[in-house]
Amino acid sequence: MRKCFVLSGFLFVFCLGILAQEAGRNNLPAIELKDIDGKSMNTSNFSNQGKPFIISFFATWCKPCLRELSTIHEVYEDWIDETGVKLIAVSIDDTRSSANVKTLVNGKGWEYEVFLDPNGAFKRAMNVNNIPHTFIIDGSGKIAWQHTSFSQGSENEMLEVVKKLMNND
Amino acid sequence: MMSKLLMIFVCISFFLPLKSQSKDFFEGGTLTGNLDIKAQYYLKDSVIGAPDVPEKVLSNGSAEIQYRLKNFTTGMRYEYYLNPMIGTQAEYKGDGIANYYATYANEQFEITLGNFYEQFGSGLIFRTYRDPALGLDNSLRGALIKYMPLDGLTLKALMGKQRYYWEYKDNLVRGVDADFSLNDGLCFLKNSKLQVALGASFISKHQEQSLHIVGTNKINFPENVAATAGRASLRYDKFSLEGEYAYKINDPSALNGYLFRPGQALLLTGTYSKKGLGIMLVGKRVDNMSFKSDNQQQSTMLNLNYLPSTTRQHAYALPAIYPCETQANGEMAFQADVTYTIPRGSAMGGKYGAEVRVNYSRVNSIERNWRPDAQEGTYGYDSPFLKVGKERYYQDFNVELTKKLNRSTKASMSYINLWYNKSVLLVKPNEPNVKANVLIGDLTYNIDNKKSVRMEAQHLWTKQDEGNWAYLSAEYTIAPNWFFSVSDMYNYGVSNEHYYSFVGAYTMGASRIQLGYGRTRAGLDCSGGVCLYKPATNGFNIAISSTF
Amino acid sequence: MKYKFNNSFLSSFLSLSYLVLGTIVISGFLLSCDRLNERDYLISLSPSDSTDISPFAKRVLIEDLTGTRCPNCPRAMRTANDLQGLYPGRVIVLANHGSYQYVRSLSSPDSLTSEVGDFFYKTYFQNVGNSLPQGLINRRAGSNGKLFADAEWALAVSKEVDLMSDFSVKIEPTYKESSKTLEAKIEISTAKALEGSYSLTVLIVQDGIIHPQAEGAELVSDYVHKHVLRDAISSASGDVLNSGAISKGEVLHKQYTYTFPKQWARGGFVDASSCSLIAFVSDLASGEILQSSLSLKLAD
Repeated sequence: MRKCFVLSGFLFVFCLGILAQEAGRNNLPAIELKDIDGKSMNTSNFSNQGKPFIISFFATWCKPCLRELSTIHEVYEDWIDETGVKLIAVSIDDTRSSANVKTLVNGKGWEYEVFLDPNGAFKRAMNVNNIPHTFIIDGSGKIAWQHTSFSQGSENEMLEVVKKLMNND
Repeated sequence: MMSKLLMIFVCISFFLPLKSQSKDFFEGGTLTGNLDIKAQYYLKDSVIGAPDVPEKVLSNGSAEIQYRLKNFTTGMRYEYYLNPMIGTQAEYKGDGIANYYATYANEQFEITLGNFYEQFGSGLIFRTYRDPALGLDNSLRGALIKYMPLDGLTLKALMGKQRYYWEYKDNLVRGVDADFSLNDGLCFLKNSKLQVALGASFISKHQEQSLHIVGTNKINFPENVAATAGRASLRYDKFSLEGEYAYKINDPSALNGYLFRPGQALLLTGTYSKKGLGIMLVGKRVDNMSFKSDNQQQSTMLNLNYLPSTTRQHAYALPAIYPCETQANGEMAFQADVTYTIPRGSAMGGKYGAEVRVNYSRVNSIERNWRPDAQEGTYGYDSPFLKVGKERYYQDFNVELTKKLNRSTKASMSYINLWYNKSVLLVKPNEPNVKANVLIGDLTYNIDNKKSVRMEAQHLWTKQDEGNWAYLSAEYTIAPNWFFSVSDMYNYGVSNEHYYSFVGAYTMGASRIQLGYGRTRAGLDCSGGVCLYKPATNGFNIAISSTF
Repeated sequence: MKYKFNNSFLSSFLSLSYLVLGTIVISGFLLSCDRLNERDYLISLSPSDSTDISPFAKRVLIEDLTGTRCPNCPRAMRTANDLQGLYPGRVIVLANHGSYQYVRSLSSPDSLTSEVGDFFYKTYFQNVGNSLPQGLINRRAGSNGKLFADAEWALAVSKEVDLMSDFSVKIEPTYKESSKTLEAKIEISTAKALEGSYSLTVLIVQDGIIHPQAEGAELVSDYVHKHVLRDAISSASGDVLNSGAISKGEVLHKQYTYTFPKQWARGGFVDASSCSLIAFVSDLASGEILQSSLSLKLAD
């Protein structure tokens, strides 16, 4: 009896989904997030005007994440000049430290777009297990590249991937 | 278990004939997932108190898949604990589909059937989430509906039963939440410099059949326990102020001493930030706010809410020996944090500039005036809302300075001063409070543009508890794939034990395999204020994780 | 596509219906909220004078896995005592103090621990992350092996107390103070024919021991311990009772002799006048306790 209910629930939602229209501008899961200034945005609307962009999951207590974002921060201006790429940093800090994200980001002078994912909804939807986990999204909104953990020097590989995507587009 | 697999198989096989018939429907579908496997071969080590493992090898793992097609998403997670590793609750033994769901979402409306995770406001009355390191997964299985009728207004309604290891407790949980961002919703505020957001939420749980004897009476448990919260967030230019107040009606439970006093919590955060400077102040009051869907539950399972610890989470090994667990029965806390970038070219900043972070936090008890008849099954105590109790639980003052010394070297120095109430926070009654000082040095040197070395040295001075500790570690990474590290945590103060660790890992894209050998210390593993005790271990371990 | 309020009639109708719907939903939720007045906090229970203490009424043995350094354990001891008061004659309590191997923080076993207690801990405690207090209720299965958290005891005991057993256990101890020897005759009667394999375990417990006990944030130096497990006179894993099928009404006998030591193996005074015997019959296959009995104090 319970299984019939579950099965029909699935089918109901599935049919709704199939018969619906396209959602969002990219091929990412659709999760409602707020940025560090409190403005809401749906992740399916993340874009960089047709150019590739980077999504990096981090937390204020994750040292390798801060190292990765600090390292990119040092060369971010050059990256923007060369490729027009954009980095969207998504913080998975929960209520314990989410208030600190804005002060930390501003205190370090980072220029990224920063969003808060305090309950990990976007993190789960993107299948992120461990942070740092960084994605490069191509111009059509699909995941083109992703890596987890950070080692000094891997930011160069990221730049190469972005350049290749720019040339392909 | 078999019937569950059969059910999933049936669901999937139903869709396959559809696939062959209507290819267009399935165009644009995305299948993703992830894998997370851990296993350890345990060695005997009675000196550090490592438990005996007759099975020798224990392993935990999970695999998740997710399928997205237009507005529809479905997914499930398979977990196994064969047998549960040391540090994972024994009740997880076994395997099965722990989580499945189907969601339809468009710009205005979203419905999820199955398991879901959701948070209302800061989570003071409702937060369901997953934290595998603590074995915590308090998802609800039922239905979640979100509705966004206007720009800036989000309404949520949910109902479900909570996960408890491999079963779902009969206790029904239902809730509603409204979140209104005035600037998005009201046209005349759209371009205002003042940004206002308001929210309100309500949660209720239903539980029958609870029995607790007090002398020759039994507790008359309320069958429906409800909690409500209101929140507001104000932003103006560089300033922001956020607050949430929560109230829970009488909820006598095993964790609060079966008192009928209602619970309250208040969380206030103020920040000022501009480029190069960020200041944050946090004040928190928690009074009798442990809220579970089962009032007889004494472990960390079945929480309905989340009471964050408002102290700084230390990532370094030595300060993590003294973690601050939130005291749900009552605490008053304060935190101040300043992050500042010293500009390039200045005296302290040097050529590249430097970052300074100063942080202070303090946790005290609430003031409790016990009523003369106080015992299990009574109101309990009175507590003036704004008064800070006399008993100190925790105090942490830390300073961190990070500086790039030259093109290839980056260094960071930290100083931490801790005051730790061991008898309350580690539940070790009658033991003296710990006063500790920690000094940490962290140096990263880039050998070339692919290889780098990072060295860490930490030292903890204290006359109490286990005395002094020293920690050294060295990491060598070859971008983008290789990672090696060697570390040792040495307690020369009391036990003279070395807790060494050797790790090697290979990362390719989003897949990582790690092999290690070492000893871990027994202690509290805390995440956000929720803690789980983990016994000591010694052995070889492997961890594989992959996202596809 | 968010709603644009073009049509004013439609928009006001919709707003009204949202309001009505919302009010219904909210009030529905708000009514699911039981606030109690102070006089209703407790429901009085008269200790059942109607508690059946006939020989075949199933006794409930609570094995309280406890320890002197466990700050939450006195709470569990109180629960066990309250349950004894609620079901007089039907609840038997055994306090098994954990040795240092199974309870973190002790560097050497204290005098309330025992070898037989260690053996039970090793068998049932599953030291992977469990913390005290825990208890066994007639060694039947709970959600964590056979372990029950103390908050779960009241409900589990109330269910067991409703049951009848196929066995009745009678203990006849004879203690000679001069030689400090004990002769215990155990008589087990059966209510019907039985096919399974059963074992008998006989343990010594002692009351009235004064020893420091952690309670909450304090250390109570003059805590009075009851029902402390001291030793086993049968084998710790139980002596096999029957070799074949048992016929209805058959009475089984077992006899034991035990000499009290001058001091218990891990320290602590031996006072036979404060000791009693607990005997229980277990099912060999499942380990579940089917019937138990508590004797009077050994010396009067």
